[in-house]
Amino acid sequence: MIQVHELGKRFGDVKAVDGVSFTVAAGEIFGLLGPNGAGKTTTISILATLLPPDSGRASVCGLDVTTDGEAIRRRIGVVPQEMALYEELTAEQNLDVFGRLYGLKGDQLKRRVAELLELSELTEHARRPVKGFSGGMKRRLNIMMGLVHAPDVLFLDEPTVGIDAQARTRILDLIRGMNEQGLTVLYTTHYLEEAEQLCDRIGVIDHGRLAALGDKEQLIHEIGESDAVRLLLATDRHADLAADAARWPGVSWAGFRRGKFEIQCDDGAPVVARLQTWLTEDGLELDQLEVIRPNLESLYLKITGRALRE
Amino acid sequence: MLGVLVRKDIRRWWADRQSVIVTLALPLLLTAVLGVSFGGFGDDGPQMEAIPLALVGDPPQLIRDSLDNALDQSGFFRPVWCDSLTADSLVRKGEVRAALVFPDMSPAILFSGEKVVFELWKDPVSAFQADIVQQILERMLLEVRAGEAVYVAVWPEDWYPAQGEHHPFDMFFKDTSLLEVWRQVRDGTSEAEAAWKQMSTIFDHQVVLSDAFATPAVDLVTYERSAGEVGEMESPQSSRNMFDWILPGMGIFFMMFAAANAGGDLHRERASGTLRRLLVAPLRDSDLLLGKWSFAAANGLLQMMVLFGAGKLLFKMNLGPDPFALALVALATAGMLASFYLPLALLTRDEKQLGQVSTGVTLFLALIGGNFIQPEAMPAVLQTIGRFTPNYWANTAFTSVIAYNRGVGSVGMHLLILMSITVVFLGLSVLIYKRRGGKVGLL
Repeated sequence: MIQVHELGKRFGDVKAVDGVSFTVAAGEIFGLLGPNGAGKTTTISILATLLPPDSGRASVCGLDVTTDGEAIRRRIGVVPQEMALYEELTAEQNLDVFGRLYGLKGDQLKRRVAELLELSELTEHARRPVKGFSGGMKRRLNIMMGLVHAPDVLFLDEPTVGIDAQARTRILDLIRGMNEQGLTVLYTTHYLEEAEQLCDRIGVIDHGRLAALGDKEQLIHEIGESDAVRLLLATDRHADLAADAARWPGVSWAGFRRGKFEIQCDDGAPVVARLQTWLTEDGLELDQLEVIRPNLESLYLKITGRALRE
Repeated sequence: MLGVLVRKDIRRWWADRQSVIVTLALPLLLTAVLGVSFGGFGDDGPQMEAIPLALVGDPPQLIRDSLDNALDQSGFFRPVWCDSLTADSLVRKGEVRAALVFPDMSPAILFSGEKVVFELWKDPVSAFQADIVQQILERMLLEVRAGEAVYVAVWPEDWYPAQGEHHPFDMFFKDTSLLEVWRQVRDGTSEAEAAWKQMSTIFDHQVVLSDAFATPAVDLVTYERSAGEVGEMESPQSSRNMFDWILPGMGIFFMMFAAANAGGDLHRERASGTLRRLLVAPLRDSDLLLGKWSFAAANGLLQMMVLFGAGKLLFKMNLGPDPFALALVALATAGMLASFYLPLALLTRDEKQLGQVSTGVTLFLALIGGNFIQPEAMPAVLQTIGRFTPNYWANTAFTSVIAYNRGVGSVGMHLLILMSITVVFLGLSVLIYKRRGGKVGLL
């Protein structure tokens, strides 16, 4: 559905997008994960035919972004990062305006507007001005505005920024539901948990370059990192524990890292059991214990050398 | 698509209480203040006294009637016909502000290409504006010339015997048989080819005539008449509602701000992200610009309608004899102002910058374009500069229809200029839009 090959875009001396390549299959939710300024919005803008690329090729629904702009725009929906809503108008009027711009009218338009209001659970607020809506309601309507003409592909540019956890969950459910009906979604975010929960495949982008690409398991496998058991003992016997733990099966390293005692191992579960035994034998107690499994955060840290939200 | 965009903007405007207040309530408040100050409720309000002007001489009846009419319609002057001795004493006593003395005139002098020299007697301490009288005379003579030119071209056989003398237009026609061609074309006796050939000659003559008409027709030589003891004279009363003069200028002034504000909607839509959404909709580039232009024009038109409506209902404002002319002028003005501020909106960085630039531009244009002071009352230099401002043409068109009580024929040139400005500035907007990279430039 979307094909991107060696895409490039510069703004002055800054390479906003630098040789990015990926494909998105029909019916897939593809996530572009990266911090602010990584190049996510620029990539979406090129695919939505708002910006021309400086190099490379891209197509959406089999149409070239540089030559088939209008045809592409009829088949895509875009949900910008901002609350792109007319605050003075009601929810119904907002949907009505864009429905008409996409050529809907009469009963067809009315039905579509009603459907979207119901889907976003805004039916009872349909005739209220948007400026009185909560952040979550606005975000839901913002997404519906991109769906008014029933597009084949939906570009969602960080659609959950600035809303609470409950509203975020509703929006992710909403996107999942639309995807189950066949909608292809390109989703950008800088929230790891969203990308992990929602996306079939993820591209990690940083400084305009695609640093990793694949489904969650593939990406974690690519990291090649082991589990980490992190703990603090109530009494300072860390040196003894380091000496003993280093000999336990599956343990590759034990010692202090970032202020905590850490045991790196293939699998955290047997190591925790062994640790319990060790503590009981010596009559010791724990202050803290956590098992860290490799995730996208560790992948991102490994790839870019910095935390995702920095 | 255009309709959807305009309807959307009008709905937004109507739903935004602040916009409605700025666009309608404030101008209405101003109308009320001006109306109470200058118009009064009904016919009993304060009036602007017409200045008595003595007229001396015995010009042809056509000129006499035309000048009476022009002075009366100007609202500035009240003509008092008298002999030279009476005029002299009236000026010296201060009963009239000035006296205008006609030269000996035959109809031929109107078409001879020579200037007509008038004398103006005035008290040296009086602040009487001779420029205004000169303009009224020039306009009156131009209208007489134009009317006679048309008449003699179509019905020469009626005109010649009536005047009993050689017609001065023959100087333009003597090398051709133009009059004969007219007759033949009119009577259907001319061969088509010959008629067309000779018709082309007519156009050449039109150029000559235009030049003749464009030549300043009047010389006004001013003489001072100091105060002295003279007899008294009664004069008839004449007055005009000052509100009719002030409101159109102020209305256009507010329309200018409304147009600038409507242009700023591009920045507001950019900031809110809705512009990005519009840009990914299947719209033509021209739809976006024309949509904003149409909204700004509709907004200005609505504002003008409310202002004039309130003026008419509450303060018996005169709206002129020709509603069609008034509607055309209002439409052309709204369209012109909407297009004038569009390039500014495209060239500025954000709404704040547009606000600063447009406020400066609007105040400057309003000052020299005649929104605060009638162009006729301004010094000649400022009047000349004022002609290069777009609002000048709107102001003078409204003045012609409302204050001078004229019909659509009097504002033909104004309408043409207003529409030309509209086209030029819309074209400029498209050029700026394209040069800035189209949609990318808007983002």
